[in-house]
Amino acid sequence: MKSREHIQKEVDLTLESLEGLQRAETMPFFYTRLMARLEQPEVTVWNRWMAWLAKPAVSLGILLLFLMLNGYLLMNKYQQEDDQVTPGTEYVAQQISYFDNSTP
Amino acid sequence: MPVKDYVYMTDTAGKAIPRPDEWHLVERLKKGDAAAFKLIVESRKDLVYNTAIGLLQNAEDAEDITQEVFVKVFESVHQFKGESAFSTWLYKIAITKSLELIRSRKRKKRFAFITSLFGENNEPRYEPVDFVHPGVQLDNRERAAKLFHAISQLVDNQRIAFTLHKVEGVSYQEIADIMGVTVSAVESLIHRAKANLRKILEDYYKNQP
Repeated sequence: MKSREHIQKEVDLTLESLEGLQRAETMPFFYTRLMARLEQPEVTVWNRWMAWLAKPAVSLGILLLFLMLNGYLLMNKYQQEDDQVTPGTEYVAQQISYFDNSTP
Repeated sequence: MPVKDYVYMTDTAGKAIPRPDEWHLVERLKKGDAAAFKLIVESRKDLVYNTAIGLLQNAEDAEDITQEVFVKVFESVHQFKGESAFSTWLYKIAITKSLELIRSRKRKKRFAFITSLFGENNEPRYEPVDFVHPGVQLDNRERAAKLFHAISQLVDNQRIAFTLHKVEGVSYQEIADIMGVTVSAVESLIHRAKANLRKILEDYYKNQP
């Protein structure tokens, strides 16, 4: 087990380890690299969105979602049409039954 | 009368040293003078790089942020009204951009799993645990690496104040200007940073075999 004095000494030495620190310097030709960056076409938010949308996983995912939504809407539409047909069907059935009863 | 790009200042030994006249250069840059921009970059690139590397603890990220800072200077020099020193403005941009990158890395880490489902390139990024500042003296490298690791665990404002003072050698007064706080607030931040670093390092050395 380490003594408290030993730990304190290590901590003090570690805290003093930045004494005499020299300033870090950029790599040579920094200005050339900077100018190359300044001359690059600007990446806009629109460009980033388009790049994201162009990914196969994203575009296929959106297509799948679109197809599922379409399917759901079509199913809903048929369901509604079925519901609307019911009164008409009842009417025809009533008419048939009327003629059936009225015929001698 | 032609305006000089350099003003001469005397160092501690009384020797005249040339230093770019930044007020004049900034005015020239506002008029679109590329030569003035080059002089500004060459004279201040290491200030920005050293600040960024101290906060980011990664040489590649620091280079990237240094470039971003000067792109911002080039594009937004008109916003610099000269109410503070030009270096203060540069420090502010460097700190803001560095913190933005640190936060974006943290967010990306959190959402790495989700984004991987959408085909993002999430190769594990090399994050050095033992960053060694290139300016550290050879016999202090091991201890400095532990200190930098401890610094990365501080809260943002303590980390900024401590790094500016210890890594970049900025005075308390200028740190106060950069952070927009009082000098006594800076003293307090550095005092708390040291106390927290001491605690982190004590825990580290206690658990060392």
